[in-house]
Amino acid sequence: MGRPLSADEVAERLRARFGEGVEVEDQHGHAVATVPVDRYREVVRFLRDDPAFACDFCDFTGGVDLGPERGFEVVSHFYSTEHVHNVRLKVRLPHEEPVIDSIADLFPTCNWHERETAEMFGIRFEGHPLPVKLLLPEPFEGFPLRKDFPLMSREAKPWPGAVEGEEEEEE
Amino acid sequence: MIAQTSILDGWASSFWLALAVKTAGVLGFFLVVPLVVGYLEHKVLAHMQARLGPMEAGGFHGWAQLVADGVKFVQKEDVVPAAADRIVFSLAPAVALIPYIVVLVVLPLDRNLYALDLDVGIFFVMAVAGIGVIGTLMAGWASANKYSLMGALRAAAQLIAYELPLVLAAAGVVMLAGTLSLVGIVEAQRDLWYVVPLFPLFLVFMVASLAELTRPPFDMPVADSEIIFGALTEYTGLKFAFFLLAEYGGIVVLSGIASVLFLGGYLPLPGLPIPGPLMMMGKIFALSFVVIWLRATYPRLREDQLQRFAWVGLVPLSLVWILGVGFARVAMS
Amino acid sequence: MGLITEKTPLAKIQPVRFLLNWGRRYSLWVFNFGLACCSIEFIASSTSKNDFIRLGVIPFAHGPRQADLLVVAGTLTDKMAPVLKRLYDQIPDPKYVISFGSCSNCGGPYWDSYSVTKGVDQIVPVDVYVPGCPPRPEALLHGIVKLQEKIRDEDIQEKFRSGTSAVR
Repeated sequence: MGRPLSADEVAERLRARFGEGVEVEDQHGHAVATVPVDRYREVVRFLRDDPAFACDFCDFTGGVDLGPERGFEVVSHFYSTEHVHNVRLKVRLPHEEPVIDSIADLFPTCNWHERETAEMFGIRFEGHPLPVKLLLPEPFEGFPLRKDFPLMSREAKPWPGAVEGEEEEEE
Repeated sequence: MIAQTSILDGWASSFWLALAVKTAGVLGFFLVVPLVVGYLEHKVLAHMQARLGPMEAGGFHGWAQLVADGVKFVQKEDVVPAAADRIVFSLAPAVALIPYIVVLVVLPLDRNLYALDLDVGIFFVMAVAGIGVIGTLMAGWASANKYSLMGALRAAAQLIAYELPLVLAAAGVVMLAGTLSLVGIVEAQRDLWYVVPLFPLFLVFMVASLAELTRPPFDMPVADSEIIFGALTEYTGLKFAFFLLAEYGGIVVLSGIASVLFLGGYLPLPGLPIPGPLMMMGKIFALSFVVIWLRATYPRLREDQLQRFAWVGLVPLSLVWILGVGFARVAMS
Repeated sequence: MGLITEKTPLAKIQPVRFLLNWGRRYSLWVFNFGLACCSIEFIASSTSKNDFIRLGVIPFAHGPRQADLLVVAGTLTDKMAPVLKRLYDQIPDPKYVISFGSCSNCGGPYWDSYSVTKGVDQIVPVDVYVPGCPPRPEALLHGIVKLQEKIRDEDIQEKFRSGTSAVR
């Protein structure tokens, strides 16, 4: 019933609304937009409310640890059930103090996704109504999905066999 | 005044000896037949579901499964929740169990094989069977568990709703038979079993007794996907075993009453001279088989469907049929 | 009965001990603590083809209070561990635990995870370990038979005295 937008049209509309800070590329048919952290909430609200986008379904909000130089990335994927198109947003955050606005009031499903991202990466979601741990037990210290988090079991006993990417040694 | 005399009164010289024999008989019946029905349930359900059921306990096809259950329950730790009302909690299984034993006192197995033939027989049965409801309510309240309480309230609503069709169906039989005494009702069926003229009342009675026992498809108050185990959630060990015994005992007792009211009790099928007690036991087991069959077959009714079925379905049907019986009775006399 | 079994030497007389053990071993009401994929294998073990009711293990006790046997099937995470302990404590004595599958035996394929309890025997005392990922239903039947053999040779007073039981 709706009209899906192509990546170029998404780029055109977003850039017209939010200026040149938004970069859009086409990855495997999805429009992926990298937005600056201070415009994140506005862009999400625009995606939800604008009739040409009508993104009413938030698929997930997740995090990526790109290392100490490149920082963190928060990825949110939105889908429109009316127009049947996807828009993915990426926001780059600094590695030392990763803070981003919460969209839990715009998309209630992000309440849990943001709790999980917060406990796994240490990213703080400003304005989240209930920032408590979702999956990890309360006295847990550290942020497990960061690249510098040590897996104690692997420290005690190194991974037997070949590590991903290397050749297995012939016996 | 006692209408008939049982053979147990006849050959026992003293009143106290007769009393002891009758008590032993009733208790023995109550301790053996429900266990057989319980074993039957395991096996019937299993074969209906294309599996085998208990095979190990006791060697031959697991006949001693319920005996093993009993021995195990006796060894279990008796847990009473800290916030529970101890006395009410401990008494609830007894209040649920004893009414069914008392009803067995008036159930006739043959023309003169029964413990007591009261001339208010069926009235006594209905009155005493209604006390079992209080046992469930006591269990739910005393458990100090909000889910138990909710389960108990649902069970109470269901049991009260289905008491009415039960009593109305029995009232139809009493009108046709002209007597409240159970032996009298069976004797009045010598020409024609009441299941023929009163077939809808028979169905109403069976459905209402299923709901009285919270058996599937009316087991919403005690189903574990609904409310853990409803009023019985906090019961362990022997007390829990008594609740189970009350359930199977109830199946036996209500099948027995249904046989007496509608299926001619100990009267044989015309042409087949089978002795009375065997006929009675056969009818009890046949009805228990149907009860177990219904468990294997139907999903459970929701609370509102259940209440609607009772008030909008069973009660009007039984009232209309009783009206018809009344007219027929007046027309015949 | 608990008092008689515990305090008096009645439970040591061979026929009585045989009878008590027989009752306990052929009437195991199982509370399925199904956490993950092994739970599906457990359920498969209760269906028509591999029916464990044959062995007297009556499935799906309505709640922990009516159960004797706790089958921990699946990966136990650190967040779920207090819940397991709580439900285990709610089961009345005498009780038995089967650890079903590699994850509950020792952490299994998630031995290096940050959130998995590597072995439920850190939380509850286990009687029988059934290895596999997931174990076949026949493996669970074998595990139950092993448990029944263990119960047959058990001395219930020793069990209560050993400290792995809540009854003192």
